[in-house]
Amino acid sequence: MSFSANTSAGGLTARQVWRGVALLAAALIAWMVLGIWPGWLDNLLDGKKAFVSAILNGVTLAGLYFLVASGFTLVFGLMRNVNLAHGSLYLLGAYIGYDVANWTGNWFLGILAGTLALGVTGALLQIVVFQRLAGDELRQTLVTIGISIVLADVMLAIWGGKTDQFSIPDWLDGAVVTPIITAVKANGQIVTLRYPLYRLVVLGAAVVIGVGLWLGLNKTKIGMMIRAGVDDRAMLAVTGINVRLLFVGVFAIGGMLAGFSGVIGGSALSVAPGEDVRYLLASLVVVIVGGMGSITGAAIGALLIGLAEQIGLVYFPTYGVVLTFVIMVVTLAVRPQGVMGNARTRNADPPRNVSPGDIRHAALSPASAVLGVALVLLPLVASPFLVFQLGAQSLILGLIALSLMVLAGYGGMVSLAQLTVAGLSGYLVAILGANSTGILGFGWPWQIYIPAAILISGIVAALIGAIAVRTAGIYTIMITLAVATAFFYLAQQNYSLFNGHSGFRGVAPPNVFGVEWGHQIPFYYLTLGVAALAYCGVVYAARSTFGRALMATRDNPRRMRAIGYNVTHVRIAAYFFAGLIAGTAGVLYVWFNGRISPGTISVSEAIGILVIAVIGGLRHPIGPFLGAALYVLLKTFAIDVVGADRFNTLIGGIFLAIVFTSPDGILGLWRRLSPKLAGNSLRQQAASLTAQRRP
Amino acid sequence: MSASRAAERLSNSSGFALELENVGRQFGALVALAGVNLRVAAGERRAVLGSNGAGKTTLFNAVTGDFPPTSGRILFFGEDVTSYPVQERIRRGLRRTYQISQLFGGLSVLDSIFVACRGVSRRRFSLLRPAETDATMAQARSIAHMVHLDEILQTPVAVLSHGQQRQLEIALALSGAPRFILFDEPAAGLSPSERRDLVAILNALPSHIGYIIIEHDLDVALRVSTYVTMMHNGRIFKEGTPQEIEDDEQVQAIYLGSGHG
Ligand SMILES: Nc1ncnc2c1ncn2[C@@H]1O[C@H](COP(=O)(O)OP(=O)(O)OP(=O)(O)O)[C@@H](O)[C@H]1O
Ligand SMILES: [Mg+2]
Repeated sequence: MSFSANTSAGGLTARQVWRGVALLAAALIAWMVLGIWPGWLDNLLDGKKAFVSAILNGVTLAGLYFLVASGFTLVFGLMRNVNLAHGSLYLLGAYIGYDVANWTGNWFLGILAGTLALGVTGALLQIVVFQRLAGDELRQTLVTIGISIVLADVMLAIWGGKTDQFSIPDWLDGAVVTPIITAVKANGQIVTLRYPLYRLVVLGAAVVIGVGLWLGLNKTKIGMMIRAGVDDRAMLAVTGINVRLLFVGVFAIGGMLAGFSGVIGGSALSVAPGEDVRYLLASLVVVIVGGMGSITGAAIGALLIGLAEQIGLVYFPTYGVVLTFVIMVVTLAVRPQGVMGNARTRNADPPRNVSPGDIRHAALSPASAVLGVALVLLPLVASPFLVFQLGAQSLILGLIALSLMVLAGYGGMVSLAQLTVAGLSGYLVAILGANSTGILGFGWPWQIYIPAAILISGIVAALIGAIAVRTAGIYTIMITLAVATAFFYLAQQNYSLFNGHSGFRGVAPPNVFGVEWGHQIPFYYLTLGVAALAYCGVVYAARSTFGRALMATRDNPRRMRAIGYNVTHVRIAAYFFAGLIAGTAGVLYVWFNGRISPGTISVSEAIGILVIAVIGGLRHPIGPFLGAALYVLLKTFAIDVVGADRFNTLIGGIFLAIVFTSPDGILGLWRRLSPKLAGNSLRQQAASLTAQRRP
Repeated sequence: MSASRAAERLSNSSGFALELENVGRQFGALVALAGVNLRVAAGERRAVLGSNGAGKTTLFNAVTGDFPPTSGRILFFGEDVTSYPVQERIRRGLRRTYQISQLFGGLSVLDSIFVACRGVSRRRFSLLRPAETDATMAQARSIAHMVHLDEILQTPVAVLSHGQQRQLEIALALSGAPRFILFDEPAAGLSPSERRDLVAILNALPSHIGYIIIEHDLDVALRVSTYVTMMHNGRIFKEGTPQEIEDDEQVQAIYLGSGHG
């Protein structure tokens, strides 16, 4: 039988090659761990102890990552539910376990409590929330985002912002001697490595649970049904099992795994706010690399990521996260479905759009003209502080959300990396222009650094797009979220380019045409002008050839190919244009804040942009600005509304309410009201018509 | 034997639009196409008949690249396109319709056809709005007129009736100067009058445009084609003129006896 070159049918031999490579690598690592190193190798890798410790840390961390990610991958594989609250479940499990362990003085009771409590939480989530949204993966994912926002805030309220440390039983504490020889002293005495016992126990637990899951999935009837469902969900319906119950069960297992690893991981490291994001990122990358719904894939992915992270930590500390990121990108480039993934899983079930952008309404309406005039006149009635703090901030966040609206509404691609692009632009302004931190700040003229920042943002956005469009639908959220998180960690860890934690201060707009653009009122008009321009540009371009092609691609990529389009190019171009908008907004944003630091582009802020766009509505370019105005208002006055600084709970709740009730956001609510009025008048007209006809 | 007859019949012809050499397609263990050899001349109008699951749609998918063949070679106007992505084949003049309509739910009828017409032009990525006098727009209108959709140009595709959706499928395949079109059961689900319209549209196509049409309704098939290919179990088992096919006993046994109706 002959195979043509463009098919994957040569997989058998390719797989054998990969196995050979993996075997060689394993043999090499085994020798490097167990053997006695020659001098040159010692010099090259900072000594054997550093290297072996990195490997052991990597493998034990991989055990933890595997535990977290296996729950995530199970839930996604079977239900196509990208549970972005999985990291929050991890942290909740850790906190509950911590409290119970402290109350009872028994660490094992802590584990039990964390595991069971999160199992129940998982089951409840499936019953109360996700069952209602069955078949609508995108909204399910949005809901998990809302839940993660609220949960993080609630956990902060209950457990505070401090870092907690478990005390584990004494006999698990301490280090053990391993048979690994790190050096041979001059007198012939052999030095062996000592390693924390607890970490080895974590690894052991991961192996036991992994094998258990594998056996459960491969050797039991239920497990085989689950696997069949992962590959082909239509199969589930015909097997005659109770699908609802199965889903609840799998979600409960996913929750239990999250809770269990929360307590285990919290004991190994620490329990603190922010850990949820860390383990969410780990789960995302592990599963993207390993392949959706595959336990073996999760194990492979966890091993790769755990090792990469620890080796990176030792050998290139400020670029460590880049290694993780590169692994993800290479996987997506070579094998988009992940190492053990199934291509069918990847392409199956293209998600419904949240709310497709609609060009029939995309004209400059009288309402938007009125709004424009009102915004121009705003400084006459509001204080300069409010104009700047509320007005300018809303417009800037609205711009970033607008770039998301273009991608999501017109392109059907929900990207969580738009703030990342804006942030990059802000960093470029600080680096290429001037800042007062005394680090970098090339002092280029504004005519050069502004266009450069915007253009580079567009190009980077296109690159992010090129990674994200390797897969379709729901994967976009996962990949762009992973990109956003990776960039955040990179900016935080790296000092040579991003000046790490503190970032850059003293970034201000130039004085051009004799106007001090940094002052509150001129800056407001600057943002208003840019926002109006971008808004009109989007409204115009929505009906351009490209705009229509983008919407057509969103609606039916297969047909698009069959009329001559390269769907990938269309999508990447959309990322580029959206990146230009986000990049422009980023320039304004760094001026508005006067500074840029990793905090500006943190994951919760990136999710905030999605919240803004969804609350405002993705159907029309005005939606993001409405959403931003509400967001900024609430953020500024949340203390007055709820009596405490529970802004995130409030905005998360509103977000959830919008996702559940009005997929089109505020805009949709408005439209729902106005057709009613129109409907009434139509009915009246019809009534009067029939009345006339009757003699 | 039948293939050689086909070749003989076409030996005087100027060239082939489509040549399939031993084309096969497997889905896992399932052999959907088992070494199909097929040649269709430029401008020729061919019908493909066969019972459900015979592999007709799979044949189209292999030719367009929607699901590329797992073995064999495909030549389009003499050029080997076997490893080309879908859009590259389309840009060389190939078009198709789908058995299950593949349309753009969020676009209007005119916008859909316009996007299709621009698909093979260099201005695919233009950020400018097309003018009312735009040539592509004019082409889109004339195609809409051809398939009787000119009354509802601004209607969103999502609210079209089944018949109108089938017309739009055809319109998309006619967009942008096609040289060869694959019609996958265009008449399925149409009313008798809509079928008559369809036959008229196909017969009114410029003579240089060739096509293959998959059709269960023998009457429709025979009125729009000059030569018939019969498929069964992923193979071609009979080729001939409509008359020869209708008279063939084997055909009657396998196809007309079971899959009809
Ligand atoms: N994408 C696919 N994945 C798996 N199997 C497929 C796929 N497409 C087609 N098949 C299988 O290939 C065989 C041929 O299908 P095909 O759709 O080509 O038949 P057909 O002749 O078009 O039938 P019909 O008259 O019903 O349209 C069938 O058994 C079908 O199940
Ligand atoms: Mg078919």
